[in-house]
Amino acid sequence: MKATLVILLLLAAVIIIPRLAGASVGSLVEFLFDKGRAESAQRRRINASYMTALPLPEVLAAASDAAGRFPGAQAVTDGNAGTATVFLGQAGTVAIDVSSRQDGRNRVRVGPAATGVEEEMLTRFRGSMLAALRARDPGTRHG
Amino acid sequence: MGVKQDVQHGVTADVRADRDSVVGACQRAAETLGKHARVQANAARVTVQILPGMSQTFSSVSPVVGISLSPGRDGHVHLEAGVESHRTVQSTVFGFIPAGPKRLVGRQYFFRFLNALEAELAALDPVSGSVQRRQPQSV
Repeated sequence: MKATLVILLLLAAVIIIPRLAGASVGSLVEFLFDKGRAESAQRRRINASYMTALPLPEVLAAASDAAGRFPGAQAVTDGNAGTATVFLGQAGTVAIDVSSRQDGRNRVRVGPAATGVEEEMLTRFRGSMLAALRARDPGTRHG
Repeated sequence: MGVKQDVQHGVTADVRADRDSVVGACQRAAETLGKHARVQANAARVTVQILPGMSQTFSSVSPVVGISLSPGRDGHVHLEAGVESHRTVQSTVFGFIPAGPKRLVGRQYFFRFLNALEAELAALDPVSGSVQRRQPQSV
């Protein structure tokens, strides 16, 4: 009898009280999870990568080509480390990281450098990089 | 992020390219989802149905992303992409008490598609084009 009463009270607490407060149970839990989910979505967004069959020197050359489309931009590449840094003036700096995979393809990550970059410029540069990679290897895809 | 915020995400773009190239970019973005996307396209509109389930045949369709193309200024193509319809899912206790946040069915695929679409559109016209992600309005 007591157990039934406790269960009923718990159900009332779970369903009715949040409703009285103008919220659903879902929205309360949602509030708790909100921050982490938003952050992970943003992280995935800024660290886009592309898969290409191009060798490292070609990828770095494509990075230079992509930078060349932006007036005043300057690309500094490091063939040994497989990285490139593109300075976009006031808009910030973009970091490119190339890592080789077992299947012989290269994964090219394009994201903001530690000093940051304007989101719109990052999107533009990413597009420019994708176009430059596709010009050399039409099979380049998101990955 | 709740469903109401998720479905407000979209992409607005203005790119100097012909319509076929823009439609092609939308199709390439959808291809990044593999079997989880179905595309219908014509010169003025592209509809991407996201199929989050394991089987294409039995999967629910959510969300449906509509991309409308219209002539922009100076020969540009103006593009608006956003959610047209969607489904939600919510976990329950004892099968009927809502016990978690409502979630957008196909959320992960939807955001992956938007990210790919952004990059593909930016690749069409990296310098003079404008591609903007529409974010949910904060309350």
